[in-house]
Amino acid sequence: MQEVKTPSFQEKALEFVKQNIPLIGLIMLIIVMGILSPAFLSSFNILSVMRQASINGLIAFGMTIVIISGGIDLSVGSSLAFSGMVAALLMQAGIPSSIAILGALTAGALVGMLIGLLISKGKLPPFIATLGGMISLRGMTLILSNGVPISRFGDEGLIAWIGRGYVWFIPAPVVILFVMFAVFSVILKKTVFGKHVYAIGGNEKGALLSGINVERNKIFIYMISGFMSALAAVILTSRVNSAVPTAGEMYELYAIAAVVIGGASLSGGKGRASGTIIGAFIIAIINNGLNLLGVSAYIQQLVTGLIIIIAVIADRKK
Amino acid sequence: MHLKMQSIDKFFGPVQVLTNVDFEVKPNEFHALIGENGAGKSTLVKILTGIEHQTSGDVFIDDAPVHFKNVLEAEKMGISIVNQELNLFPEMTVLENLFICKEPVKGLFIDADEERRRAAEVFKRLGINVNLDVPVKTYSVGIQQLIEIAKSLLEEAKLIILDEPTSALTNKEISQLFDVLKVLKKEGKSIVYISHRLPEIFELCDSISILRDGALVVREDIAKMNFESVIKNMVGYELGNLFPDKPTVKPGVCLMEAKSLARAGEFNDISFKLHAGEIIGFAGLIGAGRTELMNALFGVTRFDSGHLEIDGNPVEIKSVAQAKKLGLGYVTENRKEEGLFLDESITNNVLYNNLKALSQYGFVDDKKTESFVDTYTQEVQVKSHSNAQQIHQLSGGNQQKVVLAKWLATHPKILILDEPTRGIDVKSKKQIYDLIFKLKAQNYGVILVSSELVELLGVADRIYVLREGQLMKEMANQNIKDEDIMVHMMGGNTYARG
Repeated sequence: MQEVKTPSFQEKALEFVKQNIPLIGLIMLIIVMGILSPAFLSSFNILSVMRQASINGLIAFGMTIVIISGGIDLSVGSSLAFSGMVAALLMQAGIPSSIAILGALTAGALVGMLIGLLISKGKLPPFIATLGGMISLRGMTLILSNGVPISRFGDEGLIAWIGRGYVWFIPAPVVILFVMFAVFSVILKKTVFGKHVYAIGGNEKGALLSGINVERNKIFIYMISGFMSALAAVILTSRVNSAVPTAGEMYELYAIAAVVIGGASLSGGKGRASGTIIGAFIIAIINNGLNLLGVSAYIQQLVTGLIIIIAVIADRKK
Repeated sequence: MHLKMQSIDKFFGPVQVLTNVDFEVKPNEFHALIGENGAGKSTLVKILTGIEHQTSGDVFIDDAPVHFKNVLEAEKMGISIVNQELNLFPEMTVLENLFICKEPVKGLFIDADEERRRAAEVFKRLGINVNLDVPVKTYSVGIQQLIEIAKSLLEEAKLIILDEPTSALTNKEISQLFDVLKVLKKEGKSIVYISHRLPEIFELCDSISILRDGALVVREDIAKMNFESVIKNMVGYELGNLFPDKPTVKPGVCLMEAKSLARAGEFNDISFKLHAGEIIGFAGLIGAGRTELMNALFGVTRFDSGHLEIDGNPVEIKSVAQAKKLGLGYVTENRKEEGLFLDESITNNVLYNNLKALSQYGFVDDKKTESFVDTYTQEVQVKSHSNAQQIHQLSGGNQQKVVLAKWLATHPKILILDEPTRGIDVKSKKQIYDLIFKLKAQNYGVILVSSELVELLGVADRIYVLREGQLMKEMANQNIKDEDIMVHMMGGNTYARG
């Protein structure tokens, strides 16, 4: 038998660093921003950053499951606009906001299910199925809304609270973000479904030969992604008090970025909810911090792009 | 070309795969290279083509010492290989394939006229008619192989290695291939012909080298050999005590009975029986339909027709999940591609196959999982730092033991083992045989698919021989020799080409 030696403190520390590169990146980013701009660390600003991160973070949780399963979901941005519009149209028709929100969430899940069916039963590559979904859902949204935003849902009911409300002093979207973080952590770490997701992404043929129902799981995976887009849609609609047909453009890319910065592998089988929420925070902090420093929006995009590339290189080096 | 390889040794880490091998191909000689799986044929060929490098020993071409650093250098010296898996680009045209990476140019552009002229000349020499402008995939495997041969002629090959060239061909395509080979003979080329099909070797080759366990056993003119002497030299091992004594278990109730199972293009009219406490073996060449049959038994694919009973009840297996529920386990042929999650821990690999047993209300019971996985990895003696170790860090033998552990954990009544000892060390092999006999003693039914006849003879109670999807023979494993099985595998003396 080989001898198993207990690792020294340095080895343990090195191992921790290797396993938590996104977290260390986030801490370093916070320290640098804190030094460059004193306003950054004010409690007001921290909550505001978290609120900014919440929409991307929620979409990215769904994306995390998709990516761990070895897929990709390009439809989330359009799906967000579509379900937001569904909620708006229902409220415009006089339906109570809580039911309208439920309708939007259902619409998002159904759209995801449809895409999941195309991928599992129709054997379309996820890239193609969700690209088609992305473009056609945007079209659907424009048709439903006639291309015009629907605004002003009042200051009453769930639709006012979900994006603009507070729990004690914490913004509601931030609360929802952390609740969902807990839910997704548990799903991925503790549940049979979570294990199926890792197995399918790690070796689809192997998963099939273990008796895992790959098709059914895939449908469910894209349903979850659609549902999370709809949840983000409702929050966004509430925050801006308006459903805009062009909402959510490029959101799919920021969600993928958050997941990838968080250490997930686009080839599947690897990823964590904690990585994704860190990824979402990193993206939000870069934008917020550069704003505070008065850097132009053009340069912000450039920096965000470079950070994504650096993050993936750093992760691969370990 | 006169090729000489002298005293070739090759180690992979501590494992010696070639021992003091001398290999010679004379000018214009058609030379057969024969040996069981794992005898060292492919390693020898890889050294010859510059893919691997010998640990010691020398290679001479026309008496000048050579050392190929890579494939390109071997090609430049006139050695080329036509592999079992063809190296063509299916979506590109025949012409593009023929000149890939070696395109003649005129100024900045590819000189297509020159290509066309040279290609037409080669195909004319070979006496075959091919449309140069269609994608390669439009042609059958047989023609694609001829295209590969044409490609090596365009590269001025003097020695062409053919690795199992006929394994995927129809009889008509084989005739066509042989006609082309006769042209090569006239043009003075040398051939190394690797095949399990002995009749072809006797028809084509001038001489033969036989490898066994990494050493050259014999090099002889083909005229001085016959079917029997070739086989004897090929498998002339000593059984030794690699195989423990078979437990004396009387076969019990019938666990599985198959009647006339068929699936189009894969196998036809297969009937067999498996009893409790019995090990049945399936012998056959690659492509005989053994793995395809197992896939259908396990619900990966479906039977077109036939009748299957498990425990005396007729069943129709529609999914893997159902097969598992009926008490089947399946250790697949390719452990890396199908059997394992290479980047995952040992624990997760066992867990993914036993999620039902290790969860409640959809939640995985981590504590139970830990001790559960321990139980089974210890039973099969997996050697690792801990169960958290990733699979790809384990040796082949230990990886295979994890596969066995994950299936034993499902408590199957019937365990299908497809090439369970392929590519693993002798010690692990022995442990796996011990385990198979333990299962037999515990009244499991075991289906063993193996290309190693010694394994089938050492382990199985009864042996079914498949050839080209047909059941050729069922024999009790009593007083039979490898030759008896091999004759049925290869079609033996009844072999005929249309």
